[in-house]
Amino acid sequence: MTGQTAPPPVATSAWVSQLQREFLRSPIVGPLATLIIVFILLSFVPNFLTLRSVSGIVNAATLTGFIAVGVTLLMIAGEFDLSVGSIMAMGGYVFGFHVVAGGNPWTGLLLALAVTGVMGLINGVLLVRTGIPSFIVTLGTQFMYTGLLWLYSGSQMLQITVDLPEFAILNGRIDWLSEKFSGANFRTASLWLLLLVGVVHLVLVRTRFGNHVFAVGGHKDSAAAQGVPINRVKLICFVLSGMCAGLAGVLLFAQFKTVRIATGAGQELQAIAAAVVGGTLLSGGSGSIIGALIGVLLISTLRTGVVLTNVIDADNFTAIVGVTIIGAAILNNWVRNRT
Amino acid sequence: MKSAMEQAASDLNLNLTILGPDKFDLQQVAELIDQAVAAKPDGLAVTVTDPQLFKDKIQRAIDAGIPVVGFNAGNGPEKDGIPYLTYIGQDEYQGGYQAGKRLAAAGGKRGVCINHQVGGTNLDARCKGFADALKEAGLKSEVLGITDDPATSQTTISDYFTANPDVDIALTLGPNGANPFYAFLKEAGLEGKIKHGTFDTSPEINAAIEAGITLFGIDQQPYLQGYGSLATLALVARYGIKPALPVTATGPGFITKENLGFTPNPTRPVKIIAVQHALCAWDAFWCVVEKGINTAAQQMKVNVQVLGPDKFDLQKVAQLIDQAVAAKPDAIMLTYTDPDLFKEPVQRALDAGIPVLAYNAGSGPDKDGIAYLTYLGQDEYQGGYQAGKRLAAAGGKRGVCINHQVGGTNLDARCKGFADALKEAGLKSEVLGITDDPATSQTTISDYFTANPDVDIVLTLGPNGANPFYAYAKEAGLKAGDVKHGTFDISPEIVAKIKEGFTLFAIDQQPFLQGYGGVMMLQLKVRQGISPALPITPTGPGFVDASNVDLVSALSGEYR
Repeated sequence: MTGQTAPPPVATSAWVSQLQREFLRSPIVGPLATLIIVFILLSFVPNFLTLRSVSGIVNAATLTGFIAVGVTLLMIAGEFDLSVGSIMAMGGYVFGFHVVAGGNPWTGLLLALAVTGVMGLINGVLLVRTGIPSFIVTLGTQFMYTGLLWLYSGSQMLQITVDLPEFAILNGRIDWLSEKFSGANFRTASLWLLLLVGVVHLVLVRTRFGNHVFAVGGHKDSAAAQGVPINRVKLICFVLSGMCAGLAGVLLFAQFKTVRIATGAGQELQAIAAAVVGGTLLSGGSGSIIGALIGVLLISTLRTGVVLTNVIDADNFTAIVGVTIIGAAILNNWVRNRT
Repeated sequence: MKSAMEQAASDLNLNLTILGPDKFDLQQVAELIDQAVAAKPDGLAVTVTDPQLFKDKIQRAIDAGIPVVGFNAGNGPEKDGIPYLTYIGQDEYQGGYQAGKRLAAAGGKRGVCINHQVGGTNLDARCKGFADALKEAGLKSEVLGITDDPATSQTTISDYFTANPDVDIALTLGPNGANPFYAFLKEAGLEGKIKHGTFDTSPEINAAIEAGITLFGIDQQPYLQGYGSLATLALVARYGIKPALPVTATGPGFITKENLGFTPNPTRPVKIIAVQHALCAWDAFWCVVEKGINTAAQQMKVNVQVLGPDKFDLQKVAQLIDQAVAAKPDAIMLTYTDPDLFKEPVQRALDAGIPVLAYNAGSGPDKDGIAYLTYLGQDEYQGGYQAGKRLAAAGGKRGVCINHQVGGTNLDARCKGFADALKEAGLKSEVLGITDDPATSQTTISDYFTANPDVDIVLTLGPNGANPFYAYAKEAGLKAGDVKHGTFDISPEIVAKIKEGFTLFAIDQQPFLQGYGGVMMLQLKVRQGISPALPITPTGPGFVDASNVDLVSALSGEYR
């Protein structure tokens, strides 16, 4: 800024600076900055700035995104859910078996959400009844649920080859976009994710329940003193986390028409990584759903970037993700401490 | 040979016609092939004695949809340039190699391969195998050429040993080499001082084996050529199960002091116990294996009892092996799932003189370090290699092996075989690592093709790799022929893609053959004294392509 420009009207200036302050205080500043920097750096890689690559980044991030929404919500409330991977597979199986048996896919979706919601509820009940840390509880249920999957699936991969019109709605390619712009392979699931992120974000920042989530995670004792129903909030968050994972399983089946016991393996850590990269505190009480979305996008962007640089080595990518997680955490801390 | 074929026809309930010339006359054999094709059989076994002369005739049979195997004479479909299924006979290189291994293990220091026909491809291959085996054992070796004249040859051998007194391992390639060698040994007083093995048998060789002068004679096991040809054709016609490799070795079969003078008894009652780490009752994969066991048992009139744990429990399996040994069966077949846990019980079976064969799980007697007969299962490297050859032949330019489990030994071996085959064809290839998550994998595959648009040969290692690849192909609008794609294993999706023509083939480990082949080999061992030729007897790669996908998918779950 040079001194020659006329000063803007006072009211606007105040508004802008307030927005600046708000923005800087928001937990997504760090992650957003990282994503933008990474994106700019990678734009020098041939073929990176193409619709095909960008839609690929979005598609690879979408299902993990659903899981990350639930996991982040729980982390803000001060809890972990390590069982989301097996819950995701269960969602896929419930939906898949229902469809294979000739059932209506929408009923299948509801069934899957119900079953996975109950699985989340079991996590929550175990937590509030026993007082065992959720890290341990869900580590245990992760194994239990995998065992349940073995039984339920008959240890078999489930795969079908028919395409149902409902699949196209759940997680189909947005054809008119790809017809208009070559390589733009965006999928409907990404829209559902945006919708979910929007809704959960609004619930978190605009509703009493959202306040309670932050309170439960940040200052449990004072929250209890003010009459926040801690257990109920936690139970709801666990149910939502289970349902998000279940939904991811359903959407996976809707595109790949395949589910197996290993489906979802490792998703819990990806989701936690996305949440942390996205500015959510491991200690609870602070975090952002939008940040988590940025987190999954960042990880996915890096993956595509590494592959496109054509240094094919399976180990390269994970190393770079590791560096990014730590780098993002440092950056987030730095931003937080400055404001 | 004839008795073997008749026995197989009776066991397998086949209608068999044997055609042959009145005297050695290859022209007449060629005409007989035409005659056989005209009779429209379900399968045809031919001695490919003259590939040039027989080529068109055999090709007509193949074009008429008749499965053809070569037996006894031939070099395999690739070398003969005729696309028959497999050559069933002696693997010369392996004969020399296995001989070399045995001789090196017997404790020698330096070796010589006495070749009475230098320049003859078959005999040179034996010497090459021998040299490679000794080299692996850290020993030096040479080839000594001799002639058909025994007197000259004896002198040559004598001169050689005078000049190289430290040579104490010798391989001769048949009676024509063994005969002057024995004459030399006797004169030099070296009988029993040199580790000697030879190809083939003769009264002289048998006597030397008996006397401990010669450790073994190598037999090409003609009985197995006859029996195996018919069994192979029956499996192709009935279940769409194809032989895994271009060459199916019936030899080397080792004749040693222990089994010299074995009297075959084709009607002898046989009791086999099969011990496996899983059962059809709780894992559907094993229903196919057990179906193979029971089918063979019924056809070959063998009493087979299958033992397995109620759930995955290797400790329990080890106990079951001991239980099987205690029951004193004629033979035991087992899954060698845990080399540490199973070693002792299997050794107890071998000590009790019970022949043991591993199926489905194992690495072969060499790698597992225990002397069971053979491991019957998928050869992962060969799977990748044969896949690579097919894909390269289909006309691609550059390849990628999409590996969904980088670091897993089995999958890495497949990619290695693929890379080697492409390299041989003068093509480049890479490995692309993907994950368990199909969405991420799809994007990774898409990015890879963006960065490497000239890649047009793709190998996936199972449904978990094929699935995201298909998702990518759909989005990228790839059509059949744009990319040459092959994959391991079968899934409903893969079957559909083979029918569409998008995927050229799927590779199956053919679990039916693991059960069926196990029973067949063990009953041949007990009744005919025939041992499997190689430490690993591959049941896969079995190729499922447009030619047999219908049969395979119709039999899915039972025979596949």
